Amino acid sequence: MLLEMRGITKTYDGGVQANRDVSFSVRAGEIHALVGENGAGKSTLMKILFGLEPMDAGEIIYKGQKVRIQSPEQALEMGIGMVHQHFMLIPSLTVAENIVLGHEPRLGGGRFDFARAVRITRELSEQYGLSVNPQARIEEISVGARQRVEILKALYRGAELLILDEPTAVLTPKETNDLFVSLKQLIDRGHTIIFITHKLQEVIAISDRVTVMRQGRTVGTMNTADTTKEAISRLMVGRDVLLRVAKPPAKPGKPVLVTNDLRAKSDKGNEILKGISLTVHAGEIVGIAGVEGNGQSEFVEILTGLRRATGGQVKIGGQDVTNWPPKDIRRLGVGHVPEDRHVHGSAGLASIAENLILDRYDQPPFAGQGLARFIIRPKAIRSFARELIDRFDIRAENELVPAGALSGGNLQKVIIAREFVKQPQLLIAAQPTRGVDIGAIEFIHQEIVRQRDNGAAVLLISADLQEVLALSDRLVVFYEGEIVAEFTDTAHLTEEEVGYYMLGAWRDRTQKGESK
Amino acid sequence: MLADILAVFNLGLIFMALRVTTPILFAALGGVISEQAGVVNVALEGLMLFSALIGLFVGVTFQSPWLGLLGAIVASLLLSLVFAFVTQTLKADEVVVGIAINVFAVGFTVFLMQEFGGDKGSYNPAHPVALPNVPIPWLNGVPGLGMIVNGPNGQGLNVMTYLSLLSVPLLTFFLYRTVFGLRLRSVGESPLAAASVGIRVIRMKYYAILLTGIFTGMAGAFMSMAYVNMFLRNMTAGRGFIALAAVLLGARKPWGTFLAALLFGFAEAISNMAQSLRLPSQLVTMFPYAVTIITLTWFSVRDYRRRQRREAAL
Ligand SMILES: Nc1ncnc2c1ncn2[C@@H]1O[C@H](COP(=O)(O)OP(=O)(O)OP(=O)(O)O)[C@@H](O)[C@H]1O
Ligand SMILES: [Mg+2]
Repeated sequence: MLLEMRGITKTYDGGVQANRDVSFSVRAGEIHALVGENGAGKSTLMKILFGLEPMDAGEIIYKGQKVRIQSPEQALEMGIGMVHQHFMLIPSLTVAENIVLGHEPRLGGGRFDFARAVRITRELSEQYGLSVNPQARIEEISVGARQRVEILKALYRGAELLILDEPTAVLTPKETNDLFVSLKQLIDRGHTIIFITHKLQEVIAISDRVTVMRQGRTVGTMNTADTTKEAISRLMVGRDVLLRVAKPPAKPGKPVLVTNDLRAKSDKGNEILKGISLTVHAGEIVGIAGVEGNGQSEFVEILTGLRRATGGQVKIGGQDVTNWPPKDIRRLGVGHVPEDRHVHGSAGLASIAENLILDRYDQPPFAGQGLARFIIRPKAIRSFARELIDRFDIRAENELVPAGALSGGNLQKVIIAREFVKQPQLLIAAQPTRGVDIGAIEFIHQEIVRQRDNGAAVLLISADLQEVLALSDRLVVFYEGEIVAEFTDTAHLTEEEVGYYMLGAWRDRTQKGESK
Repeated sequence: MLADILAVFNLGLIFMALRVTTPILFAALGGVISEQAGVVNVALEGLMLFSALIGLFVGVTFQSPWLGLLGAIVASLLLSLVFAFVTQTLKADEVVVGIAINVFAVGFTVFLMQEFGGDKGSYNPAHPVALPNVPIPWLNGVPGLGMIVNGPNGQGLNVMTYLSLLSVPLLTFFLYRTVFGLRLRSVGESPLAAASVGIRVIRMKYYAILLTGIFTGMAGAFMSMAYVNMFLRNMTAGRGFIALAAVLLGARKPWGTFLAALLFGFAEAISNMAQSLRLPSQLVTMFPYAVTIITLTWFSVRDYRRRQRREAAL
């Protein structure tokens, strides 16, 4: 055993018992997957190992010796490196600067040796097959590249045991594959990897062993070869989980969302949407597939009033709402699950209850009428929040916990609850299950289908191809700001086929060879 | 009338502008360091004012402008240390503490003047000291340049003016070419990320605040031992805030801040020269402040858009 953690117990200041008598061990040279529901305590266990959080009880044995790890520097000295769930990079600095930061190569007189930092980066990157451009700024590079920078950063500091906390949550399928190739190379060079993920197919694809956590405890460690996705998910959730979405055929009604030749510019000023015409009917789920950065995000921003269209028209329920402010659009019965739950989805310092009424704080029963609408009613808000916490299975002490203290999956449930409970006529869900555990994914998928069956028009945007394929009744593919394909029969569609359109290899073909 | 106004715009104006830019530039460069380290330092004004008086006291006592300069810097450092301790160690709000220091500086300097000089409005020492001007006579031969660096009377620019100009490339080098500068910037941009690679965030912020103090000390010394050779109640007259505006306008970078400080310096110089014209004096004295407000508004709109873009990019 390279690493053994025994009896690890940790209670946060707020009283949450995140780890209870956890045992966890890792063999040298393996890829060890760590899975569990949101809030199961995976990140906490890894933070303890990396010296970011102190433990209340337990012991850590590393390379046969009992160790005390009190800071990340100590962990790094011992050869333990960590890539965090949220990147720890400095956006305006270059890749090379980020990699050497803290251990910079120097010229005389305290001068920073940038040339050598670039050389070090290039060598590391070639050695491990993690390609990065040393001179590019972090803010200019893709999420996948940022991930590689984080890994190189840990390697530069001599990490032998590498902890990756949900490294694939933000990656495209292609980037994930590339990452897996690199991880295998790392193993060949004698490194050991702990890999946290919510995607069970990844566990099967890459890990040697897998440990499952539930509610702060480890409930089992298995050889990946001897287990199945179903078995793992049963251990995780404690019951059988539907890994496929159960979905009766759609009964589309009248059009709810109609966009006509919609055009927009990106922040950099280039044309990012080049005339999108799309209709979503009541009672159907329309999926948008596409590699990130092909205009999907901007499209959603326009629909929800967060960005101005430079041309074209948006109609919701027959109303022309082009360039309306977000509040007015929402009042028409539009629900929006934004792709970034921190930036647009929630207010981190505000409580769960406050987050749940963000778009209806001035309406009864949360406020009075007439002049009294300027006065909010805390009691009504709290009882509403308690009800939703219960119904949407949000795991938190109570409704007054700040949203920022929730684990990623639980925060997502808060947003889902807010947007779904109002029974929107149009529901726009962008990456609704990113970073969410399988139990919650099942729940969110069921809720989306239920919204559809209640007559909502649903627009679904997801980087997870499996998800769009499984949920959509109709599917369009975005490529460079245009719709390059539309499929009305998603049941017989393969990931490969859609993939070709997403990468721009095929375009302007609709199903069955009709030309558009 | 028009001819009078146009007469303001001559080479002498450049000389005058460089002179009045000096304290703004010093304070602004100090502000750049704090800002780069992620510290909102609105205490520039108070630090300048406090060090102007203490510097003059020390200078007059020892009859040495150089010891006066040193005294001003030490005074500014001490007050900066208080700022650093309260904001970084005790975690008080930076803006609130900054304002407190500005208020304290006005009151405390008046108190000191009254105690030691017997006058609340000004401290006018019998034997004042002055940081020297440095005329460069041989440049008088170069048309135009002579007027710019030596002025209409040939007295030359102050040694502190040259030092402030020299500080711009030095600070650039420090921030962008040294390991210390790299760490300082990373702390300012993303303290969590910096801490995760073992950089001591609080310590770096202390260093940044103290470095700022050195610059505001030099700014203060210039005010009471070069710009004039005395101390007047609230003599900084908002220059610390104008410097803060220059920092923001210059996008927190030394050269940009230099250009912004120069812009404000010109505005002040024009206003000074225009005092002699038959324009309403309120209008004239308002001019530099109006320029500050207008450019700052323009900038903050631009900055807001940019920040949104950066957030969107991450
Ligand atoms: N800094 C903190 N203060 C208080 N409670 C915390 C803190 N960090 C995490 N928790 C709580 O501890 C529990 C375990 O959280 P942890 O982040 O370890 O979960 P996780 O398994 O990584 O979940 P996810 O899959 O959503 O990332 C959760 O209930 C969470 O709300
Ligand atoms: Mg986690």
